[in-house]
Amino acid sequence: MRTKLATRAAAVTIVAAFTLAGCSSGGGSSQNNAAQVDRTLQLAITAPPSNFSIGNWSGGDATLFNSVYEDVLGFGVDGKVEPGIAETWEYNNDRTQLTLHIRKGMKFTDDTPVDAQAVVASLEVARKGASTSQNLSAVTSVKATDGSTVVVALSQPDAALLPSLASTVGAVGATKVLTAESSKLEPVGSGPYVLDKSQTTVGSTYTLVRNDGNWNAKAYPFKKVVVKVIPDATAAQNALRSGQLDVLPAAGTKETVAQFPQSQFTTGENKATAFGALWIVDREGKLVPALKDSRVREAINLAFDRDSIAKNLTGPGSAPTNQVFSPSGQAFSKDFLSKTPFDLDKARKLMAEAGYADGFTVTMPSTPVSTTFESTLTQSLSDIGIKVKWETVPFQDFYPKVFGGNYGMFFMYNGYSGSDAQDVKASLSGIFNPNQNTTPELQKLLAAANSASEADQGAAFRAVNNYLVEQSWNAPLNSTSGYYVASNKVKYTPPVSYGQNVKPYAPADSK
Amino acid sequence: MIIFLLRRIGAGLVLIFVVTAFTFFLTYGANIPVARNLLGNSANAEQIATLNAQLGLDKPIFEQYFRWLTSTLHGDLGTSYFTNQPVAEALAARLPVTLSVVVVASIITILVSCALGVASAARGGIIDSILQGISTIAFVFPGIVLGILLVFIFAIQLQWVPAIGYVPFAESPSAWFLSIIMPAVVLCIGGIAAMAAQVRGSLIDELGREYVRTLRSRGTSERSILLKHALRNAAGPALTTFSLQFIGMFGAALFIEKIFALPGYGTYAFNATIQGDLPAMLGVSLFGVGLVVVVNLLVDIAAGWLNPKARTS
Repeated sequence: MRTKLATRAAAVTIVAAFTLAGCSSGGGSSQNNAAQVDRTLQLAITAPPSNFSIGNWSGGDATLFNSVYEDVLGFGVDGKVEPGIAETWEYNNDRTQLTLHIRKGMKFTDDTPVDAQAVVASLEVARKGASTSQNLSAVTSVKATDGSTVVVALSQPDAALLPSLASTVGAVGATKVLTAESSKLEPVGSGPYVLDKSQTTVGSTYTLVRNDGNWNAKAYPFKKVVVKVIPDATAAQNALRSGQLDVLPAAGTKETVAQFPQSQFTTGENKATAFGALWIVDREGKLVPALKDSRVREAINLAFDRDSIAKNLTGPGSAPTNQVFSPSGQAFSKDFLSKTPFDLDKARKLMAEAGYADGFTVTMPSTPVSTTFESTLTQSLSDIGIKVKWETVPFQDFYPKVFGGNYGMFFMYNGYSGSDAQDVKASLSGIFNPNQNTTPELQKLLAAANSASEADQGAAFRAVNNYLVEQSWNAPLNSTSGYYVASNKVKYTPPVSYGQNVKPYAPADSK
Repeated sequence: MIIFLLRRIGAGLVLIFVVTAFTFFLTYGANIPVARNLLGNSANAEQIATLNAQLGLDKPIFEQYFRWLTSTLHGDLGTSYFTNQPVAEALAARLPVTLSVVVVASIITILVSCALGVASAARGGIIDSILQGISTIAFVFPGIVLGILLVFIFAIQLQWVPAIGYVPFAESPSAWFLSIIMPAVVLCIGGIAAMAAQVRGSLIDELGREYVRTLRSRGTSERSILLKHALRNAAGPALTTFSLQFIGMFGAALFIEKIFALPGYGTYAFNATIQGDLPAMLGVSLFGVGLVVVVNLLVDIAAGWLNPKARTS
C-alpha cells in the first residue's frame, strides 16, 4: 500500500513514473558505480512527510522514507526489484511461500543487528499499519526460521508482493523503537542515509547524511541530501534557477521547462506517471441502468477521440491510452489502442442495439481535477446521446459521495504504482471500484497472473489488460508524464518509479 | 487602568474560546476526509477505519472537543495529523520566521512612512505631490508582482539574496537578514503608502492647531515643533493604522511565505486549512486570536503613553 498510496498521491498531483518490478530470484544489483564525493544534493518535495513510523507513512514522495530505511528489497531506476536487506529470495512452486535470505552483517544506526527477527518484527507491524495493511493482505504469517532466513506465507499468490517489499511497505526499522512515538519523527533504520535532526526543521527542511555503514553506501554518491518542502511551483523554479535546488523532477509542462537556459540546465520528459480516466463505477446499473450493458460502455469508449485529447487538450507530455496499466510496464500494449478507436457511427449503433438510441442522462461530479476535461467529456458523450449533468462537489464530499453510490461514473486521475500487479490492484479497489465489481473471468485471469512466474507475468497481466479493455471496464483517456529540469551539476535519470529513492541522481561528472 | 486591562484580557480570553470553538465545530461540520487524504484513493474501508481510530476521529464530536479543550488548558495543543509534530512545537518553530519578516517589515514601514509623511506635511508643494504620487503607486502596485520582480533581479540575476528559504538568526545574522529582507519589503510596500498618508494628514491637522502657533511665538524651532510636539500628537491615529497593518501582515504572510517558501505561520495555517488538519487549525486560531488581543492591548497602552488624555478615556 505504501508505494501505491505514496506514489499514487504524488503521481496524480505532480509528475511521476511508476512501473514494473518484475524480478527474478536472486535479483540484480543496484550499484551505479558512481564515485563517492562529498557533495550535497538539493531536492524539493511539495508536502512534508507525515509519519516516519513503519506502517504509517503516507504522502507523495517516498525519497526521505526509503533513504532512512533499508527495505526488504529495493527499486532500481529501471523499475526492477533489486536486492535490499534480502540478498536473495525465492518462491515455492505454487507461489504461496516466499523465502527471504537476509544479508548478514547489517546494522541499524543504533548499532543493533538487522537480522531475520528484525525483518519479521517490521513486517508484522506493517501488516497492521494503516498505510500498508492492504499491500500485505495476502500474507498469513511471517516467520524467522533462523537468524538470516524469513519465510512469508500467503493465502494466495500475490504478484504485487515483491514490488511492495521493495517500497515503503517493506521498510525495516530498529526493533526497539519500531512502534515508539519517537519513530514518527526520528526514524531508526539501516538505509543509505540518516536523518540529521540537528539540520532538520520538521515541515520545512530535512537533511540526510550518508550512512557509510549501509551495505550499498558506495552506490550513493552524495554525502548529504537536503530536501526542502516547497509547495509552490514558482518558488521551486526560482530556487532551481538561483542554485538552491539541483533538480525538479516534476517541473511542469514543456513550455515551463523551455524557459530554463540550456547552458545551465538539462530538461527532458519523464516516464508516464499517471492516467486520466472516466471511471465507470456503476457496473451493476443500480443508479444508471444503461451502464450495466457492456455495449453502452464500449460505445462510451468509442466516443472519445483520444489522439485529439492528448494533442489538443493535455498537450505535450501526455499520450492517448485506453488502459489502466503503465506504458512502462509489460502488460501495456500499443496494439490494444486499436480496440477502442474513435468511431461515432459504431458507438451510436451499439447504443441503439442496447436500447438507448435516444441516449440517457448521467450526473457526474465536477471537481478541480475534472474541470479541464468537462467540456470535452460533455461534447463527446452528447455525440452518442448521453447527456451529462455536472454537479459541483467540494473535494471533501467527493469520496463519501462516490462510496455512497451517488455517481455512475466520474473523471479522475490515478497514478501508476510501480508494477503491473499493483496498477491493476489499485484500479480495481478504493474509489475506482467502490462496489468491488468483478466477474469470474476477471478473477480467473487475475489468479493466473498472480500465480505466474516472473518470466510469464508480463503476458499474464497483458491478458488481464486485454479483458479490461475489451469489456470496456472503464474509459482511460490519456497518460501523463510531464517534464523535468536538472542543473548541469547533476545528472538525472528519469526513473520508472518516481519518488522512491535518490538513485536517479548523480553528480554530472560521474560515470 | 488595571481594571481596564483586566477587563480587556478577560474579553480576549472569551474571544479566544468562542473562535476556537467555532473553528472546531465548523471544521468538523465540513466533513473533511482526513484519513482518506492521508491514505489515498485506493485505501479500503478497513484502513480508513484503522487510521480514524488512531487519530481519535471515530469518537463523538463533543468528546473530541472536550479532549482538545482539556489538553489545551494543560498546555498541550495536540499533534498535527499530517506532520505528526506537536502543534505547540510547530508554532514555536514557525513563529520566529513570520515574526522576523513582520517585525522587519514593521520597522521599515514605520521609518519610511514617517519620513514620507513628515516630509510631505512639512514641505508641501511639489515634494508633497511627488511623495503622494509615489505612495499611491506603492499602494496600488500588487505585492505579488513586486515579489516576483525582486526575486528575478536580486535572487536569480544578481544572486545577492536567496530566492527561497529562511536562515535562523542564531545560525548567521547576515544570512538571516538576507533571507527575510525581500519578503519584508514586499510585505510592507502597501502599508508604507497607507501609513504615510495617515501621518501626513494627521500632521497637517496638528500643524494647524493653536498650540503650534503658541510654540512658534515662543521661538521654538520648527524642527522641535515638528518632531517633538506635532508628530507625537499625530502618532495616535497612525498607531491605530499600524496596529491594523501589523495584524494584516500576519494574514499577508500567507502569500509572502508561499512566494519565498518560508516555513512560517502563514504556510502552516494555509496547509492546515486545506488539509483539514484540525489540531493545527485550532492551534493557529488560538494563536491568531491571541495575537489580535495582545496587539490591541499593547496599542491601547502605547496610546496612553503617547497621549495622557487617552488613559482617562
